[in-house]
Order: sequence, then C-alpha cells, then structure tokens
Amino acid sequence: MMYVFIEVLYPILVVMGGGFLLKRYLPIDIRWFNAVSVYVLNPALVFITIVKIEITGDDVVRISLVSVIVCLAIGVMTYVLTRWQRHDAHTTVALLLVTMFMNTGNYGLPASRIAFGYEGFERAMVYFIAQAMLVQTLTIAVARAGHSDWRSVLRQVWRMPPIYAALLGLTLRWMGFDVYSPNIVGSLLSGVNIFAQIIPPLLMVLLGMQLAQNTEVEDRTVTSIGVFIRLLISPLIAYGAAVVLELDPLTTKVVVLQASMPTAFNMVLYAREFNARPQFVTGSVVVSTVLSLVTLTLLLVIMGV
Amino acid sequence: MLINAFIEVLLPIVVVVSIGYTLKRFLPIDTRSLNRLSMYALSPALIFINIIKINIPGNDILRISLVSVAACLGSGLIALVIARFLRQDAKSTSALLLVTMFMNSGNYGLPTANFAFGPAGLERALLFFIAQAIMAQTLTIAIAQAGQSDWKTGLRQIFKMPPIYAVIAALALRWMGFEVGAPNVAGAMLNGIDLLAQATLPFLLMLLGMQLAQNTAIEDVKLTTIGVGIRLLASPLIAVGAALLLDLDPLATKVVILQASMPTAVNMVLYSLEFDARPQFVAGSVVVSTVLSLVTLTILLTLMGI
Repeated sequence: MMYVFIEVLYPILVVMGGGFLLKRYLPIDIRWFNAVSVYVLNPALVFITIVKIEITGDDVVRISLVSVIVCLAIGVMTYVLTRWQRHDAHTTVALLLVTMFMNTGNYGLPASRIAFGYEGFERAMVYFIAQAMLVQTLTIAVARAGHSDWRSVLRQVWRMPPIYAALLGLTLRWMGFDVYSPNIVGSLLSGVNIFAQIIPPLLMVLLGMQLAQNTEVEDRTVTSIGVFIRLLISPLIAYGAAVVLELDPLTTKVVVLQASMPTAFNMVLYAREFNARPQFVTGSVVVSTVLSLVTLTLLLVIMGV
Repeated sequence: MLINAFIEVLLPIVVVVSIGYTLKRFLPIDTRSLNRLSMYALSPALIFINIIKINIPGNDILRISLVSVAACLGSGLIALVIARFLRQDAKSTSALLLVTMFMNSGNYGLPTANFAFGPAGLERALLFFIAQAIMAQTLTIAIAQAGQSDWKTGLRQIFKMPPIYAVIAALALRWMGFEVGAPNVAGAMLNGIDLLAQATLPFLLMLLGMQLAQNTAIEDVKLTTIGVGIRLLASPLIAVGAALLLDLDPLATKVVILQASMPTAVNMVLYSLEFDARPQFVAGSVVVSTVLSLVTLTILLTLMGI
C-alpha cells in the first residue's frame, strides 16, 4: 500500500506541493491561467493526442459512454437526494456541481500516466475530452435546473476550443500525417508535441497553486455527502458501466480511476457565476482533493498497480 | 542538407517559440509570473535532476566551464576594442558588452542541444549554461560599474541565484548516493522533480517567444550589426579555438560551439534597463540576433553533420 502511494501519488504530490509553495511565497498571478488553460493548453493536448492516439473507434465510443453514464447517474442520484433532504435551489445546484464533475484533467491525466503508462494516458484522455464536453453543456442545464433546450446546448459545444482542436487532429490523421512523418508537417507536429509535454506537469503545478488559494470548509454535512458521492459512489458506477459495456481490463481500470477523481477546480468558477454557494463548492474541492490521496491509494491497491 | 538541419532540429523549436509569441500577443499573459515559475521551480528542477543523473568526468566539467568563460570574455574583449576604436561613449560600450558577452544558453541553447545531440548533449550544454549564468550574474555588475565591483558583491550575487541552491542540493544528494527511480521515498520524490524537469525545456522556449513579443523596435543599425556579428559569428570561433586548445572530445566540442553561437540572452534587456545602458538598442539586438540565429544555426548544424 505504501508502495502504491509512493510510486504513483507521491510524485504528483511533490509537483503539486511545488505549486502550492510557489503560490504561497511568491507574487504569482494565476487568474489569467484559466483562460490559457481553456484556450491553449487543453486544445493543444487534445489535438496532439488525437493525432497520435492508437485506440479503436469502438473503444473511444465506449469510454465516452462510461463518462456520460457516470456523470448523469450521479446527477440523478444527487438530485433525488436533495429533494429528499429538502435543500433549497442554490444548495441543489452547488451539490450537483460538486458530485457530477471530476478533475479528469489536472489530476486524472498525470495520475493515469504514472499508474498505467502511455496507453493508460491515451484512454484517460478520451474520458477527459468527453467529460470536458459534458461540463460545458450540463453545467448550463444544471444552472437552469433542466430548462435549457438542445439548441443552446449545441451552441455551447461549438464554443469550446477543444472541439476545433479535435476536428483539426482528426483531419490531419485522416490525411495520413503523424508526428514522425519525415516532412515539414511532421516537423511542425513534433513542435506541437514538444509544446504539449509542458502541459501535464504544468497542470499539476496549477492544481497546487489553486489549492493554495482556497482553505475554508462550509456546511460539513452537505460537504461530506458531496465528497462521499464523488469519491466512493462514482467509481462504483464507472465499474458497473465498464462491466456492462465489456471494456478490456486496462480500459476498465482507467475509467474507474478517472471516475474516482475529486471535484474539478473550475466548478468554483461555475458556482460563482450561477451564485450557487461558491464557498461551499470551494471547500468541497479542497476536502475531496485531500481525501482523494487516501481513496486513490486504496483504489490503486485494489486494482493491483 | 541545409533544409534538413532546419526542419529536423530548428523548426520544432520555432513552433514552440511561435506558440509563446502568439499567446503573448493575443492573451493578457503576465510574463513575470511565468518567469518566476521558471526561475524558482522549473529551471532549478532541471539543473537539480541533471546534476544527479550526470555522467561526465570532473575533468570534462572543468573544461566545458572554461570554454564558457573563454567565449564570454573573448567576445567581450573584441567588443571593447571595437568600441574604443569607434570612440563610443560609456553607455554604448556597456550596452555592446551586454549584447556580445552573454548568450541565451538557457531558454534557447538547452532545448536546441537536447534536440540536436540528445541527453548526452543536454548534460554538457547544462554545464556550459551554469557557468554562463554565474558569469552573467557577476560580470554584468562589473560592466555596469566599469570594473569597480569587489569580490564580496560578486559572491553575494552568486548566492542570490536559485540555480546555485539546486546545484548544491544535487551535489549533496549525489554524494549521499541517492538516484532517480530508486524504490524508496527519496527516489519517488526525485521522480516528482523529474516530472517538473520534463516540462522545463519546452516551457523555456515558450517563454522565449513571449519575451520576444515584448520587444520590436531596432535602434542604431550600425552598432546592432557589429554586436550581432560578434555574438553570432566571432563567439563560436572563439569556442572552436578554446575547445581545440583544451582538447575536448567531439561531442563536447559540438555542444560548446552550439552554445557559444546562441543569440543575446533576453534578460540582458533587464540589465540594460537597470544600468541605463541603452535598453532600446539592447532589446533590438536581442530580437535581431534571435531571428538571424535561425540562419546561422542552420549553417552551423549542417557543418557539424546533423
């Protein structure tokens, strides 16, 4: 057990810790970083992964399906729970944000890479792309409590830079180019590939910096419920979905790992925008991220990493 | 053949630099925050990890550092003679020294050496860079004060640099027998630092692009031409001479020449601002030498048989 923690999570913790310390002791401005992350880093990573990826189309669909199932099943479960507990609308929206959307990027991608190597990383990437689209569309639906129509949803999807990166990557792939082609396009692509190497470590540093900004925990009962669903129920649903869809062993492990990630950091931004108890969402992000060190260690041990 | 060296080694670098340039042009990016991230975390991580892993005899370490010193001082001497001959004032002389003596052996030289010569090349390039960084930190003060600086301020300047601590920590761990990938807590911690170090080279290139996006105007074409000529052409020749004299092996020779032929370091703009030594001229020279280096480096790499 110590072994798993030391091999997989400890290196991530070291990098995150570096970000945390930098943010605490140096005047570093990370507000603009969200924009760079959304408009440049994530699209570049999506683009180059699609150019390089070696997974069959069938598997891509099934991994994406698991991602959708996990997100929606948890949404329904959380909604029922809030009705039963008679929470107000703000709390309901906040709890949905905390439970439905996990940190498959900053945290899930490097964790999958270290635990399962490059093949695991590719699969985690597919899960991440599906998840990113869900975030973009469902958060709007969550905020309007299910009143959004399919047109506005479609419009939201087309506003996402990763979509264009994905389309461009697919086009180049279809034309037969790859990173190792001995021509100018191959050389340009290897430039993007080099740039993309910055991204996973930088995302971990950013995670640490984000943690350094937020510290208070509000409303312990609801936080416990939210974190419980996020860290423990979510991987169970993913495992069920993987079994039903007959995923291979490696893919099953990756989707379960991704589904057990803590709440995504950008949920704090959405909570602020929707005025859905941002302080509570922030606290849940911190609590779930810290507790995930325990739950992920257990999970990786069970998976036999 | 010329085209090959450019496409294989330099074009990927140009892509990453251009991404940084474009980002800075179109997004409100705070370059200072990124610079701090690089200075206090990424670069020290790279230096730390490489010194732990390094596999070069002490004798070679000394000789590579000596070439680094020779290229810096030799270029400075030529610049000083030309400045005297052209009867330049004190500020222009200081500015010309900043432009010619200190090359971009970090942001630009390290990734280029890595792509051209692999990890063994990177190790040697790092040694050149560390010697260069120490000289930039100490000699720039001497230049600004026209040789009036004493050894105490010099020493104090050296210990203001984060990389020095990375070097000392790495040497201590090496001496205690730690290594990357060892199956214990220390080994895993080194793995984490290694993760950071992997991001450093592309990050430095991106940062270079962002820094270039800030400076554009060129002042004093004649002096710029002289400065850039010394930086890009005389400096590698001095390195060739020094490498032959010190009897370096072929790989180390190629790496030190590559490092010596790098354009003017971007942080010289900061020094010239601080010393009031014609910052506009220095900024212009940085841009001109960096753009022209694409041509000179292509030729150089072809000559080296890349």
